[in-house]
Amino acid sequence: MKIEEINSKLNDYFNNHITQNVLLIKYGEIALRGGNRRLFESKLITNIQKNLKDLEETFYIKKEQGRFILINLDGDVNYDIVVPRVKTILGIVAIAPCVKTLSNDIEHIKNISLEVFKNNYKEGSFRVSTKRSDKNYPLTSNDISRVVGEHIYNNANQPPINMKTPDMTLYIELRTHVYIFTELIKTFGGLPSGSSGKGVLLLSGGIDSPVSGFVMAKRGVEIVAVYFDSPPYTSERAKQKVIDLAKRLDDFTGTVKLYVIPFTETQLFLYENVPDEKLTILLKHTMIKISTMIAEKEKAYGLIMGDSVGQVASQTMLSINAVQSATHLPIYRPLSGMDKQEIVDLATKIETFEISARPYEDCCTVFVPKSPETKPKRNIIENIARRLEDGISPLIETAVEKAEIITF
Amino acid sequence: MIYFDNCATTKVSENALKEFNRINENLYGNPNSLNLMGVWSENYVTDCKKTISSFLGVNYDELIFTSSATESNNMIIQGVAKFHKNKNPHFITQKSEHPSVTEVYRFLEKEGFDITFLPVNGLGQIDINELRNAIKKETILVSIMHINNETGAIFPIEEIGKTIKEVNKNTLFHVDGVQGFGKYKFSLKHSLIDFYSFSSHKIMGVKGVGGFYKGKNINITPLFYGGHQENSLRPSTVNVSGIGAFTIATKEAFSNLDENYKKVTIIKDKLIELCTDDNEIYLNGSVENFSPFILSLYVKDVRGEVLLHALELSKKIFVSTGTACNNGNNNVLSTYGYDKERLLGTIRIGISYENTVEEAQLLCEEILAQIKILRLVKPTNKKRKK
Repeated sequence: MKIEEINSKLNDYFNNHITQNVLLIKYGEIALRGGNRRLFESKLITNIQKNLKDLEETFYIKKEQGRFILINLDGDVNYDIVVPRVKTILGIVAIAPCVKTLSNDIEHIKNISLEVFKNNYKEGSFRVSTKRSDKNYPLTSNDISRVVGEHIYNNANQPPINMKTPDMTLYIELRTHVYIFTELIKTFGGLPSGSSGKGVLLLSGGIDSPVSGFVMAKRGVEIVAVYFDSPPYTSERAKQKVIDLAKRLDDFTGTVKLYVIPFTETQLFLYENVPDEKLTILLKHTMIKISTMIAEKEKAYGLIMGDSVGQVASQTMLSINAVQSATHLPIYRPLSGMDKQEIVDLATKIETFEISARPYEDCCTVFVPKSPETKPKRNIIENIARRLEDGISPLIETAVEKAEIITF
Repeated sequence: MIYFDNCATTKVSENALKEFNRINENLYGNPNSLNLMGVWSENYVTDCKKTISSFLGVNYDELIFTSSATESNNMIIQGVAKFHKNKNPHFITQKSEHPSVTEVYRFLEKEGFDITFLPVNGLGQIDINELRNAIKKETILVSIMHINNETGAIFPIEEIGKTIKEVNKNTLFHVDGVQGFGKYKFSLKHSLIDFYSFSSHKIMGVKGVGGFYKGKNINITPLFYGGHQENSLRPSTVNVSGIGAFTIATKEAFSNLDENYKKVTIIKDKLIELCTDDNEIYLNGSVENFSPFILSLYVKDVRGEVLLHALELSKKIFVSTGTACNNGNNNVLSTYGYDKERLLGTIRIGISYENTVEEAQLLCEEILAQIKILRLVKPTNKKRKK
């Protein structure tokens, strides 16, 4: 749609309406300073639009001095549907369901504010807080807060006023238009995806790896996920679970790409050629190796893993040290210092937990030795890996070639 | 594609599907409407009941249609419990029943009802004397299935029915007939059965239709309220087309009962002969007193689920497992006394008369081919020499 067309649609609406429900979106301004700001803003807009694209309405996102105003070109924004889709997006600090009106006449503002107040007030104290960008406006911010507060006090059964710790704040923002809202919903914050480069996430169907992907995505890392598929030892449903997890991560970043690596042959080769107690660590070594190949293909600068130190045998500090030689890239392990419960809490918060908790556990357990080594020696693991290299190289090259790529 | 999961569900028979479409296109009235279309539909459903009841040797007004056998079992057990709740009723069932029976009783137990769960032996059978001793004056209902859905174990329901009535003529006898209905010859009347539940989609009818027989003058309290359908026991608009398709499927199953039984027996025998001979594949249960429609195999040193996926990946052959990968508890086979290794190493083959001996041969060949590969990775984690 052309900008003239959008503008005329925006104005048309106000020919027979006084107010419009829009969504105010605040993003982390400080992080967006500098030369890349414009780029990040348009990246954020793309991500927001992507999460809304399956809806029937046409949305327009207007930049308003360090924030966005999300407008439904056909009328009011349906918050029940739109808020859950927007609040996941990383880079957004807070959102507010908000009433937009055109006239900045103080009497008009008083009336609309009273209406917004009545629609949202439950109980307890309140205050009014005003910002204005139009410095020529006849009243100061404080003046506006005072007259509107007075108007509400006199016309809404005299609710108690509390300037320091109110139960509810009515915000008025005078910009090109006037925006009035009461509820500021804090979101995940962080940086928009891609603002810090790419990382390859080793994604299993478990609880930890999606959380580690989320934590890094929060710092602006664009996620390329890798899943190792070993049919018949893993099932179609286990794969679907990983696809759903990647899709959920995509709700936050809008850019997740998933590589499904056919891993059966490599796994069987290792099973045949590696002593039992060292199998897990060498499987991991190989997975890191393959992920590094994907990273090179994708021009990514690091790997991301869900290890939490000491959780299982392959996550002791010695084990983590022992797999290091598989890659020249830095491995980010954002959960390494977290307890299981902390990880579960975060997984619950980002809604990956219920997906991870589905009972389709893969049958890879047949490869899990009864007593895996907890103190592997790095040089021994490196030696075995070197010895196996000739045998394994063609297998993993084929696996990378045959990988299925899924985008959302 | 070869489908060997016929005790989970079956494809819909051609004639049943034709009837389903015919009714949906032509006789779509609500049997409870006053108009003529409603009358036609009501008459049609009554005819269906007459057909099905004739095969069971009961009166048509003793049949109640539901949405599934699970619903039927729930209605029967909970319905009896609710109706008799003030008389301190006692219930008896056995441990290897389908979850739609066992879990209802577990729920009732939590609610404070007195339930006896009889154990089964290694062949899935209860001890009749133990049953006899368990029956008390307050015993209101005994639920014993006809054929076990995981192993095919056949319960001697005629003997059980007679035993129950001998000890306490007021005790009601409930049989979950899902795996036997239309497949296994028996007499409902001779078995002194009071409740008998069945399902449409196990015998090539459509999904979403089930029902049960309830002897005349036996009272239960309904689970649902909101209409007078099915003698006020099961309010909800009657699924006319589904019932129609089910009736055709029932006709087909019962008219060819002996022939079908022979057919699947040959297939099952072939499978047992080809698979279990010296391949470290073992029959769960036995040949005698087990339904030919169900074959439960323990494949040593292979995970059942892994074999299942291997079969579908290599030859699009669909079978089932005894249990999901790491969920070895509360399983039928564990009530037989089998260990966890055996539960996890089990596959279930559900045979239909539509399967062929050639398919059975292909299945066996593929099982043998796959386990050769899969056994290279032993789930038992025996220390390998290296």
